Amino acid sequence: MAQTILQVTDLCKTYITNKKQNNALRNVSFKVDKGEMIAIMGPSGSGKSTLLYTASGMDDATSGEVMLDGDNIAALPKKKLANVRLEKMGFIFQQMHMLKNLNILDNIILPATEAKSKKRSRKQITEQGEALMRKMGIIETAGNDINEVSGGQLQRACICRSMINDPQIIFADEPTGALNRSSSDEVMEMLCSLNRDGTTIMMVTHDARVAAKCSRVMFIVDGEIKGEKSLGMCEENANIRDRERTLNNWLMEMGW
Amino acid sequence: MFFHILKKDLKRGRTMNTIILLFIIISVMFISGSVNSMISVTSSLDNYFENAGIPEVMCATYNRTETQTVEKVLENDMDRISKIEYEPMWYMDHEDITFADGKETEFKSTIDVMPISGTKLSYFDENKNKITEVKKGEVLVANKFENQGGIKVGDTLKFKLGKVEKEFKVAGKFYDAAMGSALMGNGRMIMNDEDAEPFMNEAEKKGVSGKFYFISTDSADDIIDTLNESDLSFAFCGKREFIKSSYIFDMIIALLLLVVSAILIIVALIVLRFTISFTISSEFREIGVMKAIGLGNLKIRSQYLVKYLAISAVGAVIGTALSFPFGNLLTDISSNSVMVENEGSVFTNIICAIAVIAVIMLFAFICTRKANKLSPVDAIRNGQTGERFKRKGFLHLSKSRLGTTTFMAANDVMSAPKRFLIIIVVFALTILPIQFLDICADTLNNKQMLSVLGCVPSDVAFSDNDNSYQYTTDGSGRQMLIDKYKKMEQTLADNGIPARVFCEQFISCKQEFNGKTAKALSLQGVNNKASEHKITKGSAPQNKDEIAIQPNTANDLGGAEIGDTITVTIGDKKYDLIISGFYEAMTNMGQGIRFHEDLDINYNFSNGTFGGQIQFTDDPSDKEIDDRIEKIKDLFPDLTDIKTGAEQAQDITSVGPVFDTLKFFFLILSAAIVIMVAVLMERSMVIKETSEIATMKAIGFKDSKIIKLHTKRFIITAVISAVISGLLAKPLSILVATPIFSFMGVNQGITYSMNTLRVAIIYPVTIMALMAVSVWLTASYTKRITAQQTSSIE
Repeated sequence: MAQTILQVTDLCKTYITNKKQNNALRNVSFKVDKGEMIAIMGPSGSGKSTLLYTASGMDDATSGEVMLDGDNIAALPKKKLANVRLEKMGFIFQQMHMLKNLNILDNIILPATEAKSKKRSRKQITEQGEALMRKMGIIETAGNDINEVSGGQLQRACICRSMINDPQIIFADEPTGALNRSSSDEVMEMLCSLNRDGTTIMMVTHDARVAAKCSRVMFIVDGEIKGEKSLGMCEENANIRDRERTLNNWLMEMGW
Repeated sequence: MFFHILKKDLKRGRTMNTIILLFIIISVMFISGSVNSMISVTSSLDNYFENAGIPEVMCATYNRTETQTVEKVLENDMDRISKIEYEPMWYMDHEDITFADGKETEFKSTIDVMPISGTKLSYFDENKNKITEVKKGEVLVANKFENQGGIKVGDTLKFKLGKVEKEFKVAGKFYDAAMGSALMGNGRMIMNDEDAEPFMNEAEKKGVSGKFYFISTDSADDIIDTLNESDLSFAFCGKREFIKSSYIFDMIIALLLLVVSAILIIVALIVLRFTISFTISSEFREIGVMKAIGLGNLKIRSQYLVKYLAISAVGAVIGTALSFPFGNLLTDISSNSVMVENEGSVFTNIICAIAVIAVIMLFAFICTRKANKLSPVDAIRNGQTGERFKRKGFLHLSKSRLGTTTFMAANDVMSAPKRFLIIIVVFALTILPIQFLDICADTLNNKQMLSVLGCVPSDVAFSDNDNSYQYTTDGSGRQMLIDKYKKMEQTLADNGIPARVFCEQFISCKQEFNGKTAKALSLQGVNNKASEHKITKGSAPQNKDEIAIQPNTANDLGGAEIGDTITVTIGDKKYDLIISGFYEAMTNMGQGIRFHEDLDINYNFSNGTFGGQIQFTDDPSDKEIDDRIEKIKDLFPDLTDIKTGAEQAQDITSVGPVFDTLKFFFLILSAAIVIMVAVLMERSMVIKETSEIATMKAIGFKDSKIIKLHTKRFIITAVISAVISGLLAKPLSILVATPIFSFMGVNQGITYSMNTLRVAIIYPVTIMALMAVSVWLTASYTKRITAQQTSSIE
């Protein structure tokens, strides 16, 4: 039986804008098993990014429970939550946010230098960072500044950074949203490769081509999960076009 | 549409706009206040003398030796004199004016007292109003009595002159232009005519009455020469310029105030430049968007220029309003001896405010010019990741052994050196004046200073109430004093204290050489040798017909040189003495000669002494000296005012309390500037780095780590600054103080002393700690930034 990594129960998020109540998430419940690669899809304003941010503890939930490795991160104090983000999860943004005063390698190893649970020397951390960069095919950019590399290389560097502390789960918000098609393919290939190696990934995307590479897709409308589709593990030689067609048919059934 | 965008911009970026508004307010306040204060202080002494009616020549006579009046002496010069006036007065020994309980005041010089109706100069009260009356039973005291004598308004003083004795209430203080400076030994008091009468009569009988003459002339030098050639005995005789130069310490303080004002202006301009370039650089994304939708460069720039014009106009109005009390505060602390009137006008403040607006517009124009060169894409991309293209840091986390936050703080400082250079400069500019003041105060309050005050440095100084030697007409006073000191040395030795006891006597005399005359106050050591004093050129007097001379006096005598023989007249006795060397001392503004210890001088012409001195010959520790002072008090109950040599130097220069006040003021001002600049800069940085802070939070950085990082950046810059200012403090102080001491007649021989603990550690660390706390508290705002705000541009 697959081990559950993330269990979300009755998660609600309400915004008050101009004295108007906006229920961005309404009693959302789901679970993510170890080794899964889940895509959250939905139309604009459906609450998919809110779900990702709330489930990852980046944003406070109005109510509900988010259990990650035995901790309810929706109720954790800030200090512990920061520790969970550091040690147990990785995050990839649509925009490649990195610290401009550090070079690519330093940006990647930065979270590792802060993580206390794993006793690693600076040398070991650097070697690990370089190994990840090698795996992602960007080792030649290690000493570069962040504005000396392409968007695709930068996003792969962000993936390396999210992986540096061996997280239990990686959250990704439109990881290919700011990339061209070829860079997007490269980045997705890297994420799939990580997933095949056992890393659990949960991402938001509006691109069916990207979502087709995930093992499961959740469809969200008006803050509620309307359905989910299991596509199975995307093997290295899987036929992506078939998976994409299957997914598109399902999405049409869901009314997208 | 243009104004709509502007309105939206003002609202959207309100935090940054508020910060820039605050900086503008501070800048206008500093610049307007400082310029006003500069105008007031630079003209203060001239205005003060003008208002007080100080003439070209002044002299104070003793009636007891007066055989002729000043008018008679100047009989042949009357055509060159437009007016002669005098104030009647009498001299009182400081021991004859005590507090009501009989306790002596701390004022240790002669006190001149005069009746109000006799005053010819203008004297001003604390509110700078001319004094016209003194009530019966009351006395007004010159300002310096507070610092030098510990006499405060409301105290009761007991006056005793011969058989006349009366108590007076100190009803107020007054500005005394003629004798008010710390370097003019005597102090003056004014009382009601009726109260003064019995004292005047008694003074006449005792021969301690006198007159203070005020001579208006265009030929001051000739008049001084004539007076010097006369047989009149003067308590004081000098030109207006001489009196002016006696305000050297007040002018030092005024000069320091100018330095502060200049520093404030520099700080204001630096900070303005930072804020404007910082604000505009964070607007590049906006500029890119406007370019992308087709707005022209002029249109884009004019939007920012109008925005800054609007903000600076509001800031200028508020800043101008605040500049008045700030300017007055600066002016008020400049001096309690010199009456400084605020000469600046509203127009000065308005001109300064307009100048600040012009500078802001210039900065804004220069900063927005950068946007011209950028394409829309460049502007947007730069707005996304910062205003520059290349990282400038050379540190690498992977190769560093530093902790993460320390590394990042150091790396940030290295990566944006210009931004942090501003903090370094501001910190150094605010800490250096405090260090300078401390070094000056320490130097002036050190016992080594006694060597340039005409004395041999000693461990202990004391006042000797036994003045009988001064009035022994047979000339035996000097021997009596030597015998007394020898006896004291024996008593000390018997009690296990090996020591030498001596003093320096001031002698009134006239010097002549090649037809030129001078009346410099001269010195002779009692129970010590002339060779113990520092000689800057030639050698110390080896025989009793040799003297050492101050360069200023030699110049007054037409350029007398070593080997020349000058004629010195003391009373009715003339001596032909050979100049064997030059020495320098601040006493009497660098005027004087030093006699050989064996020259037989009638101490009837002694003008007193700084007091007796005791030098221990076994080099005891400071603690041992303190213990011995207690023992000396027991052994010699007649001696009063026993103190250390350093305290003696402090008493003679009389500027210790003023320097302490100034140091305190500077410390507060520096702290306020550093706190303001640090808070506003940190707040600006937090706004600009919101996206990075959010990214750090997203990857798991705790709030406390981010606050630490921000605080450490400022601490690193402050440490760099503290090291630089610590290294520069002494050489800069020497550079600045040397011309001041030189003006007072001492070019060599000043031993600068620096309390390393205070100068290099306590002051910088205090300011640094305040800055760190301010930044820490300001950086706490980062707690409000969430990991989601990675794309924030405010």
